[in-house]
Amino acid sequence: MMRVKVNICILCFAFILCLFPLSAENTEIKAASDAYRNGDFKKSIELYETIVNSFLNQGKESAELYYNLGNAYFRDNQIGKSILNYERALLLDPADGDIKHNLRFANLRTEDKIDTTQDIFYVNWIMTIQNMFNSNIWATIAIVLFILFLICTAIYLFVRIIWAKKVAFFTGVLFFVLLIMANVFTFRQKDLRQNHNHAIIMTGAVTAMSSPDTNSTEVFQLHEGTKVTITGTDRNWYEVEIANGSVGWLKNESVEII
Amino acid sequence: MKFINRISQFALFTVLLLLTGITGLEAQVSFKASAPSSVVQGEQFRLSYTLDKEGSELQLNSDLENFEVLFGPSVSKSYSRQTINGKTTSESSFTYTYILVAPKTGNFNIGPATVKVGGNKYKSNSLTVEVLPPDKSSQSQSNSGSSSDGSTIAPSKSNSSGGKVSANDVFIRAIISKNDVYEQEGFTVTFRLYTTLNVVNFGKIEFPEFEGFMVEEVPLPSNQQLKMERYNGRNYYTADLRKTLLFPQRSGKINIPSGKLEMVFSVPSGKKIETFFGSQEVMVDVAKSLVTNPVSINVKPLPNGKPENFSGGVGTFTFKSSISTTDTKANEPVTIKLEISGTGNLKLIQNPKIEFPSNFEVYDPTVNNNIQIATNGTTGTKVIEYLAIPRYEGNYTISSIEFSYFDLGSGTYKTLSSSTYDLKVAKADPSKVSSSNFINKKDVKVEEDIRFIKTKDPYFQSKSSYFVGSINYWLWYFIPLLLLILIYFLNRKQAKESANITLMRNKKANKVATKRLKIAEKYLKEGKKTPFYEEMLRAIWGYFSDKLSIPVASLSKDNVGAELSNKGIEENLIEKFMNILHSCEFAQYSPAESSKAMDDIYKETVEAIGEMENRFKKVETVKKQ
Repeated sequence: MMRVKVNICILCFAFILCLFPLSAENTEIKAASDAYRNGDFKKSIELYETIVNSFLNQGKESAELYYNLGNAYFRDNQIGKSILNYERALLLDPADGDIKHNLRFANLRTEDKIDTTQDIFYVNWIMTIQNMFNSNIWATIAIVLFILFLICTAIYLFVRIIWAKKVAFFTGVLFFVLLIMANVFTFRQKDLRQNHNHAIIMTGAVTAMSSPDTNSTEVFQLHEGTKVTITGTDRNWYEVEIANGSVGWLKNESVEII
Repeated sequence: MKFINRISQFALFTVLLLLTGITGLEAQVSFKASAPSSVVQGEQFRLSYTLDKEGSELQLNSDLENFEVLFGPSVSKSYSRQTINGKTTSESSFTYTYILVAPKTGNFNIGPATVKVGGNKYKSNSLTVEVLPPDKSSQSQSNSGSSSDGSTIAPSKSNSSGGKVSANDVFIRAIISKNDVYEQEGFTVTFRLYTTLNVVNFGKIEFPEFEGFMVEEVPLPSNQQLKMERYNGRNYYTADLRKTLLFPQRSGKINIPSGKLEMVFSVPSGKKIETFFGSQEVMVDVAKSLVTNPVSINVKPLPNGKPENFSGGVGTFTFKSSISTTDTKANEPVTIKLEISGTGNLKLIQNPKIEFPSNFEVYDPTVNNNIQIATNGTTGTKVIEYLAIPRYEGNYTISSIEFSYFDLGSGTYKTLSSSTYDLKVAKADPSKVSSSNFINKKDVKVEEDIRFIKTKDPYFQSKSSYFVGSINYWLWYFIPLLLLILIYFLNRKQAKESANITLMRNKKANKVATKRLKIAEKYLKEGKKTPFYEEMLRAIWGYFSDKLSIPVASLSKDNVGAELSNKGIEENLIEKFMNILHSCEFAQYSPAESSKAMDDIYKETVEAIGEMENRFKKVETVKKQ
């Protein structure tokens, strides 16, 4: 019990530290957003990039910073980079409306129009629910659900009134199902952030090959800003899959991993 | 629509007014000078002044010193009278003619002459005459025949004879005004016929196709005078057959191929016949097809760095804009007039775009071209009128309108911009608001841009560590679960024990009894008789009450006996207890009792309870088996 308390204390302390970043970085962030307001997007990009990198070195990242950097790239007409940063922001905060809107808008500017294989409606529903929160919030929800489930179990075991027992049984079952779902979502969100198996095309146009070899036949062509799923690697080649299920090999310098 | 109609009516009216003004001016006296534009040195030519009313005191300009006046002025009059549909018009003209000779070569100006008509002085136009050197071969030749304009000049003697036309006598040149141009820069191509022979007839004319150009025909006067021109040391009669203004539409080398013309000339046949006046050459008509020279033009592309709103204009332009009003009411139209004037490819200029506020109703602009064709491009003005109707009141700003073009003079792109207009739109007149109940619901436009950056302080998340899967996460599951299990087992044990009260009290019965017996023993030693027996009885009754789970109040010797025999206790043991109870009750109230009896009864009771305890245990083990 003692150790848990100490752990929780450390967690809370870290959380509070996160809420108040150092003031030096705060002024840098302000300078970057001022540059954006004044229309100096190149300078804004430069400032945001240094801020993002300095926080990455500390092992921290922020949806807001990625989003703002994406906006600056968009205004500077670097669609590939802007989509990359929007995607990174969305991984951290999958429910944010602004990020989703700007990503959708930036995607309209890309050249590739890939017919996506339509998911079945309930898959869409589940994905929507999964994207309502990020991994940590889902984990907290899972714990709250677990405690509620335990309370229901306790009521079922210790209370002698029959109807209370019945209610406790069914709500307990419900909480248990929700608990499993929350756990699935939290692990999947964590996987999405940890696996880094998506990438964005960075060069204007790139040709996907049928094998990791420049002399092999061309399969299809992709343009800047298109999202691909990395399914394999070979030396400096990536095997990628695009939204319609086609698979080809790209050189790794033409894409950047989200 | 009504409004536009009114505007157009007004425009028509003003144009009519202007036209009548012009015709009024035309009704004045006309006094014109005419002479061939080029003559040969030493040859006679005619200078004539035409007046449409009788005048007097004709005075020539002193510039005429460069010429020798051989004869003049001779005055000729003509008078004509026309009756058309009962309307009679009369015209008269007076022509003053001089015959001059140019002694020197070069370009000479003939200044305006003056004449008096009815007390007013009138001036004629001035002329320029080019005097060409004479051909060597024709110097000795006497003048014979006369050209159409009456001058006595003649072209070089032709080499053509015997029914053949020499290539030097007749040819067509394609003359270009510039052969190194920018894309979209206008230049002219003139097809000029050079001839020393008389043209009898034109046959088929095939002009080349101008591929890669926008073509604008330059109108030529319908009755052209043949002009003298010196080319390669010879004087030719020349006539422009076609003149076009070309705007190259792409860069690179563009060729204008050669065209073909069939013409018939009258050529001396070489045969002579004797006539009354002496021997004369017989002329024959000879057909000849002429080919123009192909021309190649080097078209430079426009330099890099085109402005984003480049209109496509190449040339020199000025740009003006005006707004009809800046203070208006809703539903009342506003016009913005843009005027581009200058020289260049005016027709190809795209209309500058005006960014009207989004809730203005904007109509397609009307474009009025007032363009003359000049040798280096079209000149004139292009008037673009935008009509917009503000539908809602408010203050609006129309940002400055930009017109960018490529300036040929400096070879750079230039952007001209108008000022911004601040428009105050007041509420619409209630009378003008349409009275229909039908209201058009407006769709709110879908967002057409990205949203603004986030300005709140960023919230940071760790890149590598996640709550899920951490020890903390699992502890959050494990500890509550452990707690629940612990509570459950404790609870179950307690519930089991408290549920089986008999068992508990049964176990305690011996202890309670021994406790009470100990108190009784104390009384025994002290020799207190009554409390001793009381304690003894309480110990025995309490023991039975706990053992048999019967409240003390409802205990009696009878039911204790029955219960005990039910539990399988032997009769003599029951008898023993009954005796003890009996003697205790009896001794309690009897005054004389020895301490020996008390001691006996105490020993007996302890023995009996011990025996009873053994019995109960035996019975229980039997039951369990």
